[in-house]
Amino acid sequence: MRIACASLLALATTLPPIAVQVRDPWVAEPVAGRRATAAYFVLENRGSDEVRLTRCETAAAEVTEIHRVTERGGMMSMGRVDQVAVPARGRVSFEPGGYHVMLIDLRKPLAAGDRVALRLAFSDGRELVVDAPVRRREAR
Amino acid sequence: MGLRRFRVAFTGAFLVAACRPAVDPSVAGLRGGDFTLTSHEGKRVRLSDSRGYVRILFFGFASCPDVCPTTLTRLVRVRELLGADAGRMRVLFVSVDPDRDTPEALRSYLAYFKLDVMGLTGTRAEIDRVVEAYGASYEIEPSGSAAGPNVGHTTELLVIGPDDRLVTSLSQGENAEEVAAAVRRAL
Repeated sequence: MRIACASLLALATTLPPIAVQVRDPWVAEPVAGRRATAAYFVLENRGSDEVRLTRCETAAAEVTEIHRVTERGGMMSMGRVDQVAVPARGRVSFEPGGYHVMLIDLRKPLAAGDRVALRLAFSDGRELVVDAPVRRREAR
Repeated sequence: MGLRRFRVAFTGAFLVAACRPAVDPSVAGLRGGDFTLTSHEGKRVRLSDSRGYVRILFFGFASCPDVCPTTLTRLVRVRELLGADAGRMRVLFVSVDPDRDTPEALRSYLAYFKLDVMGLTGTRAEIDRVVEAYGASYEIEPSGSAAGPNVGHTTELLVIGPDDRLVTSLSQGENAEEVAAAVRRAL
């Protein structure tokens, strides 16, 4: 017991501080009648090692997937990606026309003003839960 | 002296040519032209039915969760920027995904946006003719995603003048102000 406690203490003290921060999370209000939408945020890595986002889950949708819009020869295409690397002391923006988390088969309709909890899991074993407001898209 | 005058004249001619090109390079080589598709109200409509308006035509699909809503939201802003001229513009959203985009699916999708937009669908062959004439392209590939097949498509906004002629093509990178300015030039 004493050894186990000591090991746990050792583990806790050797874990590095949380390197990645999630900023400005939001979920786009789904287009009326649609059961899918997208979540966006900015990942900031303050650590000295690359960290990868490996999962983003929410109770608001049956399925979540990380997607990326890419352009090839003028054609915009959306495809699923397994993970997204955030470089050491770097940042990655999830934004319209780029990376986003697809919320597929919403469990209930979402409208502007609602809030959605997103659980993000990273390659360093950390998990972060953020509270994302649902907003209408804004024109650029 | 003579040489200088020539230079001025030449520069002037160049400026006029640059301001009013005979063919916008962005649409050089594209046929454009009339077509018939089925509207979100289930009616057969032709491009020429809306002659007299500036049309913004673009390709997309109603299950598109990111790029198409972003474009439509930008066009809502364009409409606001146009003020009194907004009534002289029509938006045409041509689906490249007719298997899922029935007139009813397009109607419910487009009703979300505060925009005078007509959804257009049709048979695959009808859509492909419009895609080719307007220099667009798309691809539909099976995917491992729960969101269904991957649908890729070009995202240019094609500006069609009141005389049904293709005027210019705007890239996805153009903001609402730039799109509104292009519509005004085409009026």
